[in-house]
Amino acid sequence: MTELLERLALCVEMGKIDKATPYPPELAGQDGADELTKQALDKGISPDDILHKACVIGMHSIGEKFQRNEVFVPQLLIAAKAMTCVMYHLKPFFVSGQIKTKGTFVIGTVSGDLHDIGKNIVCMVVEGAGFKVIDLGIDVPESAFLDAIHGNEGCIVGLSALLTTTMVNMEQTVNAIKKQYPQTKVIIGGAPVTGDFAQQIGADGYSHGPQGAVEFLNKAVV
Amino acid sequence: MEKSGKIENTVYQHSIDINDLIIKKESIQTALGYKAGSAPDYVIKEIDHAFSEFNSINDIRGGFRIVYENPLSLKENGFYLSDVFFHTGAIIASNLTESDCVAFFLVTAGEVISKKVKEYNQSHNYMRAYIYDTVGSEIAECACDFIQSMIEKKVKTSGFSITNRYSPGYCGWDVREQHKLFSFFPDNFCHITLTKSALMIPIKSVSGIIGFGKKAVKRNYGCALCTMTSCYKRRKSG
Ligand code: B12
Repeated sequence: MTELLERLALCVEMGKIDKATPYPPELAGQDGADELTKQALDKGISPDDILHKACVIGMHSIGEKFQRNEVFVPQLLIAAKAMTCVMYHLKPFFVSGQIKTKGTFVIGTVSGDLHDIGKNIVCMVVEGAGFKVIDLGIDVPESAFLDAIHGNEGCIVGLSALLTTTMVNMEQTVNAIKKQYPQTKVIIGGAPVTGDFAQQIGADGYSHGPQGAVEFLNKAVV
Repeated sequence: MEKSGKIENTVYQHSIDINDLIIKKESIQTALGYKAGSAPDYVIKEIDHAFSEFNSINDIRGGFRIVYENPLSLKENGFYLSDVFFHTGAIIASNLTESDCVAFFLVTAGEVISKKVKEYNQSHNYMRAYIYDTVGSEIAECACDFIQSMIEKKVKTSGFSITNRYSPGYCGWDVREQHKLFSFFPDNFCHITLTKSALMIPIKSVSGIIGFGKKAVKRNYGCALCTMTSCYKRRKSG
């Protein structure tokens, strides 16, 4: 069982989606995330173990390498693609409640801003870390964040912005959230954002990349 | 033909053929984070794939406007042009000291490339989408080079040289100042619009200025003076 999960974790990390995926060359012709997930389920391995002992491990490993600049966004994204493939097979178990996520992360690009590529990467990595992700999209008004918090008790919120002009809209959104839901934790990020700015506007956290968001979330849910 | 030392107030708008741009595959690798030769094969293949689809990218545009005023009313923190004060900050202003005037420019890599990015993302081909996104940014940068060289050629006929290009949002120049810059262009110039929050649409667009004058020079960006530690020009210049 552990061997199968270890192989699956490696496939996720390497972005080996299925048997036909040509990379990495050393795994050419071997089963990928798709086949291995099916095999694991057939063998009766619990979906929760497939998620937390394979998928999360693989994504964590690639996320750490990304943070250390050993790999770059394309490698992170093929890993995310392999992860999506595992998630596809696990979907029914999320619905039935057999898999427990670590918590819910509500994320969106703040109002006035239409950038999503960075936010999407954060979504994938956070999902791969075992959280349920609710992506509100781009140009998200305060009210949509408030509604999402209302509907997802105990969720943690992420805000993204790419321009200094829209970064200021983060302050209003954080204020609105903290006024109505003082317990809700908020992490912010995006190219012009800094830790100082996060402190200044009363956000609980900042990270320049997705892995930092995972670390923040892991701490926030214990 | 302009007389030497004098340039007519002019607006130029161009449709740019992708084949006229010098887009290097190595620059895409660098923009993705890879040092020369270190990108995995599948990344290189994806870049090749993006290049093979170049002919469908047919909405790259760029243009510029020269409002000739001599001398340029330069202040410590910016300059006046036609009664509009451009608060560029000291770094850019100090690089315009030898300029007699400025040219405003706008370029866009267009919507086609962004549509492709969206489609690939929707079909869960995330890596391809990201590589196309990076290619789109590179096209925009190369289109800036193209327009810059047009401006250079244009003013050279009157005996002027140019400075480097400067954009709102860089070197201490507030990104909101784009509203002033856009006021010098007709609506929908190059099919680019600016939102209230100073975001250009299409996303892969760039706005800026280039100074010119008898003694204008291209200087390196003044990163040592700038306070924006996360800026990428800083990383580019070392
Ligand atoms: C490529 C690029 C461009 C390209 C493409 C832009 C695009 N939007 O697609 C081009 C050349 C067209 C361009 C144009 C402009 N740009 Co530009 N650009 C960049 C650059 C170099 C990279 C952006 C990028 O795609 N990064 C890759 C993605 C994946 O990263 P990301 O979005 O930042 O997301 C990561 C993190 O931020 C984080 N993250 C993101 N969201 C969240 C959320 C949470 C909760 C967390 C925890 C983390 C997190 O994780 C992500 C993954 O690692 C940045 C500088 C930089 N190094 O970031 C400047 C930058 C974004 N640009 C900037 C500016 C100013 C502009 C222009 C206004 C310049 C001009 N006057 O023309 C225009 C605006 C364009 C427009 N449409 O309005 C500024 C913005 C800051 C500011 N001053 O407002 C930056 C930061 C450069 C700088 N000065 O340092 N740009």
